[in-house]
Amino acid sequence: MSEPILHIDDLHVNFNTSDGVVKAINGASLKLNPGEIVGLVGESGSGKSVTAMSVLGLVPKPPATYPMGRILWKGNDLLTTPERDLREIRGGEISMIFQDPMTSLNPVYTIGHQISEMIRVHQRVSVKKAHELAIEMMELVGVPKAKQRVDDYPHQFSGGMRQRAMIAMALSCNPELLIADEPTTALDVTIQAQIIEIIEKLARERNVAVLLITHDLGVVAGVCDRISVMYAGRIVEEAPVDELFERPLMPYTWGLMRSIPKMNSKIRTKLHTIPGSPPNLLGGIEGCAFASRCDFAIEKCESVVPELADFGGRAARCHRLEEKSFQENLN
Amino acid sequence: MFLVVWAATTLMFALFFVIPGDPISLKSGEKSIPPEILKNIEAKYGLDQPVIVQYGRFWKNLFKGDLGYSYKNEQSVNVILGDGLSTSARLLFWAAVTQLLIAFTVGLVSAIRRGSLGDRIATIFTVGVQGIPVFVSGLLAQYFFGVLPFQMNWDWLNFFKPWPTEWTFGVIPIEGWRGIVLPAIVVALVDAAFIARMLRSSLLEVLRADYIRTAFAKGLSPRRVWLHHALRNALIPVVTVYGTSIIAIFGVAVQTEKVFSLPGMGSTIADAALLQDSPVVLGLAIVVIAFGAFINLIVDLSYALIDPRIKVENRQVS
Amino acid sequence: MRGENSGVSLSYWQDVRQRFFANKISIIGLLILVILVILAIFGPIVSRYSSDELTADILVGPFQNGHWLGTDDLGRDIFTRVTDGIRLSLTVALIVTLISVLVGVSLGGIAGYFGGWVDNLISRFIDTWQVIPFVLIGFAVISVFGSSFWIVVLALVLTGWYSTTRLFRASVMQVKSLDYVEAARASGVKTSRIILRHIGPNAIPPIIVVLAFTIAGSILSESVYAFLGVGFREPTPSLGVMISGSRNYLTDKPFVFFIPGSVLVLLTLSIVLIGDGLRDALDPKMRGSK
Repeated sequence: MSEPILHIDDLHVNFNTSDGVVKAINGASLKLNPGEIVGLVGESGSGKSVTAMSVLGLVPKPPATYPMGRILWKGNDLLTTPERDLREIRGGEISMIFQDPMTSLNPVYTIGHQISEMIRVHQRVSVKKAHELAIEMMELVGVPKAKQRVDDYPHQFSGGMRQRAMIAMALSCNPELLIADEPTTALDVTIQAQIIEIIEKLARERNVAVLLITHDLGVVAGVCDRISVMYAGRIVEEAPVDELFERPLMPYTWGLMRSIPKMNSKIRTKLHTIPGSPPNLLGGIEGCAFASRCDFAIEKCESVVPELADFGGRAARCHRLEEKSFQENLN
Repeated sequence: MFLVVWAATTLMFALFFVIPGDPISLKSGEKSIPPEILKNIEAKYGLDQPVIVQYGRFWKNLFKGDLGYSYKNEQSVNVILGDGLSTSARLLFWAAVTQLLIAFTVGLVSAIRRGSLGDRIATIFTVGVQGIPVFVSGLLAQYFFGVLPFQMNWDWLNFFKPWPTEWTFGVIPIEGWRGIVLPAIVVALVDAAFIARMLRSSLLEVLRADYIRTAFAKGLSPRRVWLHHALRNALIPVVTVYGTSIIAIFGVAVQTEKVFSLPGMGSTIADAALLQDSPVVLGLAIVVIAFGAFINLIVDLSYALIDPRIKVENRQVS
Repeated sequence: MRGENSGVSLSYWQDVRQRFFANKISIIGLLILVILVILAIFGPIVSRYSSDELTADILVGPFQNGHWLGTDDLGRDIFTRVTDGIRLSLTVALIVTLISVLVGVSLGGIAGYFGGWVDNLISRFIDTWQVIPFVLIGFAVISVFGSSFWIVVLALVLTGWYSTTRLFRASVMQVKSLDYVEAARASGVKTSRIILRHIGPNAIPPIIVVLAFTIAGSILSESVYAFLGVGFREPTPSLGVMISGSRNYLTDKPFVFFIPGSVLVLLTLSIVLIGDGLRDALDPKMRGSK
């Protein structure tokens, strides 16, 4: 096993708001190996986006502060890297694509212009060459008639095509890591599959590690090597994809799996839900953040934060897992 | 656009010729006039014809480029116009340049350094100026730069010098350039504040957009993001406002010319209005309105230039 | 225990009020306005003079001979004239604004709601009118009809009517297409009820803001007309008239300019500040954020 290329180590992020301090991330840890596709799964508000944006330093600082933790990229802590160096890394070594391609692209410049801009920032090439490279990238992601469409504006593309263009832009300078923040959420279901396919294909071909962030379990199931589950600002479970789906260890993950409607369930089976809603992160939380909604909570859960315990190639954060019988009975 | 000009002009015409100004009393004062002379004067101005005919004559003359004759002194309105136009045009040119400079600097700086001392001062300045009518600021300027220095012997502050008479290229004053500085700044300040604020809020709004986040994620420098990505998008509402302010500038110019005693189109119209010298007012009004409509057209065209999503046909009542 | 957001939820108007009063600048504006209004109301009662009264003290400085703010070149007491001026400006502005809003609401509402050729007609009309600078309208109207009170009001209304119309039209159009209005219509709610209960409350906030700015704008326009000689004229105690008359004395007796000048600026500014504060308080995008 090679050295992880990205290592988010016990990250803590606070936001100073007029109502107080919101503890958005409370100890998130994540490792990515080169060429690996890892899924980061969680509800809205769990902190996935904040974590992702922190990698590239895109979170405005105020109101965000980083009281603890490191983000190691090839050994260097990105949280202490000077801005100028960070700019080179952005796009050059680590790229990010976002959820809504319509609003993520500048409406007043052509797609070609925006891709070339990216190329010229990181590579010493002429305008003409950059333009050619842009066309190449667009062809690579499957945009038909790339030569003509390179001079079109974002509003002239369909949603799926726009996202392909964003992918083209993101990969144009050969980064080693692609962070995809909910890349399919704003797209039609049929298009979603296409986009995920492209990401997977290009990532494998170019040996690009991918951090795929989503709230949709279906999306990660087909394409990820490993999955980390996030809840209320903490990683609560982490496992290779098959193991996670077959045998979730942490009650939250288990609840998530259970609430996915299955094709072969009997008619009139009630949909399972997890009662309640994610906690307010203002001021921080005592004990396990999931305790109030957990079917299996015990007294200890309300006061002591469970550690992310190792279980041979996977990890989970739950007090009950200390009991031998609990693991089996859960499934 | 032409429809608009036509309609507006007809409106003004209607106003003036429903209750016409009286050329007779203007010329003669209080003396009573023998009826034959009265008839002659009326015939000359066509006032004895029915309204429809007058209207037709009006347009006929207009197409010939003839704006009519003043009631007061029989000068061709074209000539009167010419005299005043150069003064006003020069004032407005320099005012426009200054205004853009001030507005953009203040707007950009206060957006970039949001919350800083500079931003706060800029905000106070922009809000404060909104409450001061031009004639007040003009008189204020006159006082501080003309009267006070005299009394306090602060000659270095004494900028209030006569309007320059020599110009190169028609707009650059050779001598007496100081005579322009004050009125130009006074005119510029009026809307510079407003536009700066528009720019600032537009920029801040744009900065919240997703594509700005993408721009940063691409590794672009803040300068590039601000000036290349943010500014162009922020310009759209600003251009709208700019167009409106140019039209309002006429009113501002009139006041300024009055305060600084400049012989421009504004004071000419003002004086003519007081005397009810209708042809002059009407003639100059047409020019002003046409100019305003022209500006509107340019504003619309520039939308299409700035934002490729907008096609020229899609103009709406803004 | 349920994981819910802490904090009390307020009704819309309570929230607006709270935010308005939290804004220091708006409070300052409000205070200044209140002071000026008090002066306007109590000025004539408190003062010994009437605004037309010519006394023997010509161009006498402030605090002399019982004239709190001095006298002008005809010996009239400035304090009295200025307070009368405030009253005049406010009265005119309020009337003009009221009429403008009525016109705006009706024309704008009709245009926005019915659309089609009605809207087209009204919009073209607005377009035409917009091109004419307000000074020109003043010239035209007043030079032809004279400068009595109601003519000035007419001129000012003609200047400002299209702002309110445009705004209300846009509001109505925007709200008309909102989903929940469609829902109301689909469930058979009567048109008038739709307008009153659904469209109205949403169109109101921008109107309030425009109201404030129209008032401020009217005060300014009226003073500009007066200054140029096409609005109120002597001896009407309009602030613009006073400033115009002070020009000759700028060198010797600057207070004749500064007093009405400052009052005019303060009056306008206070309303503008209140308008700004209202706009910030009413802006739904800013609710829940700082």
